[in-house]
Amino acid sequence: MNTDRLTEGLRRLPQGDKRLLQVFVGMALLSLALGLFFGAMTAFVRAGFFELDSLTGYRMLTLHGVTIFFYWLYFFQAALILVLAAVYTEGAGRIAWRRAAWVGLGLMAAGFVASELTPLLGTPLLYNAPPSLIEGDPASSGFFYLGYTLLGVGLFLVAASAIATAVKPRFEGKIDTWSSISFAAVAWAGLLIVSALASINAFVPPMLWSFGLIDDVSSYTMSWNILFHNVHYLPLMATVVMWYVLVEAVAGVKSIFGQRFSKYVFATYLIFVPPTSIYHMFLEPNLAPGVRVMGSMLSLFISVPTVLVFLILVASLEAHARARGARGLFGWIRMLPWKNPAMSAMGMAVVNLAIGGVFAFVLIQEKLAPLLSDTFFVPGYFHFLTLGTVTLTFIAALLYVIPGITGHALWRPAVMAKLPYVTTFGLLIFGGAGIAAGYSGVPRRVLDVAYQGDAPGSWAVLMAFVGIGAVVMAAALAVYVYGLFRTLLWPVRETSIETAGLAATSWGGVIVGRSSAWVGPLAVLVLVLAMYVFTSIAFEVMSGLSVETSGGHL
Amino acid sequence: MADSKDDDNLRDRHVTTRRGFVTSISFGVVSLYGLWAFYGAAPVSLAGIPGSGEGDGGSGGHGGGGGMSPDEFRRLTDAFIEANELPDGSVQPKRMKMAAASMDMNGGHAEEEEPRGGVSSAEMKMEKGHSEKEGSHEEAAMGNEEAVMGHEEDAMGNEGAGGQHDPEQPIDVYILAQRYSFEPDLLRLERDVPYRFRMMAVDTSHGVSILGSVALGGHIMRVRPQALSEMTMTFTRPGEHLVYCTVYCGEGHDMMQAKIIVA
Repeated sequence: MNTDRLTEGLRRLPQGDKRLLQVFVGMALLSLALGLFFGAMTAFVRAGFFELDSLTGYRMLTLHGVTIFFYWLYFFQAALILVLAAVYTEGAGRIAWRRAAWVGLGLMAAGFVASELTPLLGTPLLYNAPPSLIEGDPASSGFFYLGYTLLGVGLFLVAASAIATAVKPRFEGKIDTWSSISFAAVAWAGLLIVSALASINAFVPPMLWSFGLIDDVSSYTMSWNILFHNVHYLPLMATVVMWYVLVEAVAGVKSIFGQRFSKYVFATYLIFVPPTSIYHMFLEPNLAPGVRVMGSMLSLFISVPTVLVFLILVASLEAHARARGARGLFGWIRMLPWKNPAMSAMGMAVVNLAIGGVFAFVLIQEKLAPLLSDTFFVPGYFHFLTLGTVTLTFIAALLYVIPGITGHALWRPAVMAKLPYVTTFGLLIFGGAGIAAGYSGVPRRVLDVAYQGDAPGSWAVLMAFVGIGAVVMAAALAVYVYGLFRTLLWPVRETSIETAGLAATSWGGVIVGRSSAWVGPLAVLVLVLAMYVFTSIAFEVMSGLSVETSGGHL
Repeated sequence: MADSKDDDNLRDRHVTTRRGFVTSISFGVVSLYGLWAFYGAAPVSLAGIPGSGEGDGGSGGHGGGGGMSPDEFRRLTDAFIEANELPDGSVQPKRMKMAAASMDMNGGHAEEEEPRGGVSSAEMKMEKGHSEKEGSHEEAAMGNEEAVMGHEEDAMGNEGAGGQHDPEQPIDVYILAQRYSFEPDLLRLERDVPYRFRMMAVDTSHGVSILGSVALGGHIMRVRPQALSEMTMTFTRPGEHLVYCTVYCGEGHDMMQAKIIVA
């Protein structure tokens, strides 16, 4: 069996901690399963594979966003900060303030029920839930905002438990310093607390308004934007932290740049991410032109921490492999344990991050916002990030975590190892067609883009391809969900080579010396060139419109 | 994390495995600024490159007319439609030398409600003068309002007491967005004529996307209640442009559309 630090640490946790983590993971998987169903339904309706009435269709879209964006990603993160704090903090060995974590879990679960049932029974508000949509009947959605509020309070408690877990050994004098992973977990938990407070700030006023207790919710848009920027970047930080953990688990490799450097890199997320929130508001009518320009400029720096983590990990892997005799520019990549489903998931996550990143950098240019914001370009590119990068990485982590906290062997690792490629294939169809649809003007969040025959015929064709991609993605994810649930709930009885543990290599313990690592820098070069190409295309499309614009007045 | 031996020997490493090198490379994406400058989309642009210059490309609607109420905007839109409606129900904005008629029409409305929209130039000046006496806050509000009102006169076909007009000045077009329609829903415009689109949502937020006539890309503006969005646009080719809502506004969102025919 694999005896990596993550698996060993999980096995040594007290039974009570394992039970808590099992419930968290179960809720995360339930959220993923439901979100997958709602998402597939939305995509199929948009593709014209079958029809739903408008109300039901928008309920599906609302539930997809709510369930995936808020509950799948945050149940998982809540579980993982506890895991990392308990396993990677020397002298911890157990979750501190476990009762608070249980209360947090209960509140998050109650929030989940409220957030799922309210759109099913009432008005679909989409996941951003602007109160202006329900001005005629605010009481219909009070429990929707209550659900989000409970989620925020619950997250606060779980994050506090994780921080306490990491801090306690230092207070007790057991350790002088944190490992880089403990440091990252604490930073991550700190940001979760900030997000929890931002969510309370955003959702309590509309909740009170819905229940008739206050009259003014005019600050909602600003509060939402502050919250949204935080909550959509946190999963990316979580992803790169998990890459650190998983690279060690699958290849036995630690960063060759030192722990302190890793801590600096994690800290840079706090510097580079918050100031870049302006780009979400480029289409807002009251945003000053100077602020738009500043938003674009700041956004150029948003990739710095993530690219740096990528370079650290790739260089560490490549240098270790070369020190162990790898030849050729890419020969070391073939030596990685691709039969390990976590390795293939992580590998495809890196590829998808590059693809999604290229198009994200088209969108941060404020002059291109009128062409692409609010079009299908946005879901086209961000599924490379939310599904292709974040979800695949989180699943890769669960492939270790679930066996670690249950003692169950993983369900069919060989099948699981193929799923990242199938998912990415589906994503390429979905995202490729979606991005093309965005460039050609197809709006997002519109179920039927026929516009009574006035829309270009190409729109329907592109959306059909989006639907085909969604079929492939949904099929792969459904197998994932089944396999993970099966591993969590029903132990695999038969013993075979497949269930005897995950494949891994052990490249650590070697002096890397003057081994070179060119693949990372080359990958960044290709990434930047691709950004140049697709940004140029957007500028050319913009200038090719038969409409010239010349700004307006403030 | 790092093996201590590796840490000790960091200076002997190959350049590609040094901290300074990977940190430098991680800033590589920032070089995209050069491309932005090439297309004139950065604060320091490359002069002479197509696309550079003030306002090119636009950046969505810009706010203006802070404080105009949805009711006021609806009244302006109704007046705009009434003044420019064709027998088939479409609306063809045009410059008219009918100052007196417009003044009557607009002035009549203005007397009934706040004298902000659709007023004659004389009335506008009066209001501005009045506001200037009321302190800096009012002055700032009026400064904004002046831009709004100065063009309302064009929109109504009223070019001032003398009936003069400047062909270089854009013609105002009013678009009101509401669940689940645009008013007007069929516009007839002329190519190579600048139009200043003045838009507002009167219930919840909406989007106004004008699709290019060759179906490759559209131009999107978000419109919010209480916020006047403006964008000057010149259509360079004849053709039909689908107009559709790009901000989810409720069950009938899919049905919210209009058309612009450019001749």
